[in-house]
Amino acid sequence: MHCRIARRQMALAVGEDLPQTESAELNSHLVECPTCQQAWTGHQQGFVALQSSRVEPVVAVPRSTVWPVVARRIQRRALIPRRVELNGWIASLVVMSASILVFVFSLDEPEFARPSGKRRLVISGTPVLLTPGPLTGDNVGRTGSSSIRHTPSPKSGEL
Amino acid sequence: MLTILEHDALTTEALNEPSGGSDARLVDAARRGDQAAYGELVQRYEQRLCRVIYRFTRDLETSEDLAQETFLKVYDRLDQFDTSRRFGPWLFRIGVNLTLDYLRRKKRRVRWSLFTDRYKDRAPDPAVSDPRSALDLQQEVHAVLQMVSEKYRTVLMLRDLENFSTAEIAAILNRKEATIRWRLAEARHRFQFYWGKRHGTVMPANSPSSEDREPDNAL
Repeated sequence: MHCRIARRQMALAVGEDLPQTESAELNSHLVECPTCQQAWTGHQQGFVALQSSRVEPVVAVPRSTVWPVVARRIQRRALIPRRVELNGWIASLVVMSASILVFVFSLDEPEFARPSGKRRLVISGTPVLLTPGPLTGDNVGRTGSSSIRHTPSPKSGEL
Repeated sequence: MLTILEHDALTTEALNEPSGGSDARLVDAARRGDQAAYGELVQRYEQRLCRVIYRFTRDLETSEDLAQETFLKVYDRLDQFDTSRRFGPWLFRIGVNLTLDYLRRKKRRVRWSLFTDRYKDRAPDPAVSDPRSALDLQQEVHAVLQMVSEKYRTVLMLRDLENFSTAEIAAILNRKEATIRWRLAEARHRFQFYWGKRHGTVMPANSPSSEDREPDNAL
């Protein structure tokens, strides 16, 4: 028998939880293996300590019968109509919708929709400066809420 | 004062349907609204249940409270109980699960309070001797049991302290008996290791087998 198997078996044998046939095999191993014999002594010591804990003096548990209290609670619960068991669902639905809303609003806005965005666009060779601003008669219908101002092309000498 | 062993003698039959009508009959009556029948079931199992819970919590009041909660929960779920099975293990399963949940919550609270009190001075007072020296054997056993992880400790307590058979523990914990036997061996191994370590008698060969895994088919 391998020592590892013997160790596992002796943990069961110490509490008489090992079948007779296996016990006999274990005993014969213990006779010829001093290391396992030592381990067996250790197991016995541990088991004796555990068993000593069983006789721990306690007052009667429970101190009196719990039935009157249990009966009262059963009757009380029978009188109060049960709450609809949707409470948990409602709470989770609220949390879920809130998370979805937070997620949707936290999505990156498209760059052109940013109020502070300032970009240079080149439309058919003419650079235009997009700046946020109020809608006026000039820019309505052109590019949404952004006003378009034509910027002069850089002269060749300025470049 | 009663001892645990005396209690054992009084309630040996707790899981084995003591006289006065079968559990199934009482459950049927309770389902039909007969509260007296349920009362009989409660009185039949309360001592053993409270004691098992007390093993885990080590607090009388808490164990009684948890026993009450267990009986209420069982009453709510009576319709789900399969009367072809035994009532005892089903009741104890609910009770043990409630107790373990309670202990986990308590542990989390303790961790949180340690975290929030981290700036407080918690250096040991040199004038006070090591409290471990004042522990008696039972307290020491309890302290060592706390070192064993929950899934093994539960099996160890139910088997070696409460004397449930491995088949009963399998029914209570809803696992295969082979798994319970495996866990029992591992639990005793670990207990013995920590016990030996505490007393300076540990042998290297006896260290818990970290490489061992539960059988794959373990349920």
